[in-house]
Amino acid sequence: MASAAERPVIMVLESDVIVRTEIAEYLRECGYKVIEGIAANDLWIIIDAKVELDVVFSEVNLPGETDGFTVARRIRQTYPEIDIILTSSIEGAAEKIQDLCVEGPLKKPYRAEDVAARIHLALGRRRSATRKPK
Amino acid sequence: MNKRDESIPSGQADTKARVVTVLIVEDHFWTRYTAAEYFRGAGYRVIEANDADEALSVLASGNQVHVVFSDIRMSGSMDGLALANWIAQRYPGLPVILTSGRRPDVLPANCPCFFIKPCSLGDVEREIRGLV
Repeated sequence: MASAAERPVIMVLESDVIVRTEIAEYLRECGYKVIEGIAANDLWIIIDAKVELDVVFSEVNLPGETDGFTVARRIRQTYPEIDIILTSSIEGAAEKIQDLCVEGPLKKPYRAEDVAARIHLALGRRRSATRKPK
Repeated sequence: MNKRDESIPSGQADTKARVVTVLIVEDHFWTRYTAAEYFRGAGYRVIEANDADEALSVLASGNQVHVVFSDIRMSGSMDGLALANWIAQRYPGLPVILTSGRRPDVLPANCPCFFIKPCSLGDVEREIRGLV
C-alpha cells in the first residue's frame, strides 16, 4: 500500500460527466490517483480535508460562482505547492489563462495524452525544484 | 468465423480478470468521493455521477455498468426511485442499490436491497459482490 501513498494526486474539475469520466480514467491508467470534482467547492472541500493534492486540472467554465480563473488565482496565491492546469473551449480564454498557468491553456477538445504530458511536466518540474540545493 | 481465434487458449481470457463497474449516483460531493475511493480500493471500476441526468448520460454513452449505487434524494430532473424505474425499463437486468435517510414504502423490482444512510460501504460492497 506504500506505493498508493506515493502516487501523485490529481483533482479533475469538470462538469461534463462523460468528459470527466474519460480523462479521470485515462489518468488513473497512467498511475495517478484521481479525484473527480464538478465545481470549485469540491476542491475546497478536498483541501480543507487535508487531502494532499499535486495537480488540479480544471475547466474554466465551472458551475457555481467560482470559475476556473478564480480557482487558478486562489491556488497560486494560497497553495503554491499545488500546480494548476486549465482547459477551455472558449475562444479568447487563452490570453487570460496565459498569466495564470506556466504553459498556457489546453484547448478543448484535448487529447488525453496531452493532459497526461502536461501533468507529467508539472510534476517533474516540481521534483527538480525540491531537489535543488538552496 | 475466424479459426485462428478459436485456437487461442481459453486460459488467456482468464488472465484478464473481469472488472466490475459500479456507477455511483450521489449529489453530495464528499459522500460520492468517499464511496468511489472505497470501491476503487476494493478493485472496482467506478464511474461517478452527480445526479440521475448524469447517470443517464453515462448509460447512454455505452459505458458498461454492472451495478448502480444511487442516492434517492437528489437534485436534477429525477430522484433515485425514478432513475431505478427508468433503468428497469431500459436496462433490465442492471441492478440498482438505493440508499437514503428514509426507507421508501416500495422498492422498484430491480432494487435488490436498500441501505439507510449513513451506510457501511463494506456492507454495500458485500452486496455488490453477491450481485455480480
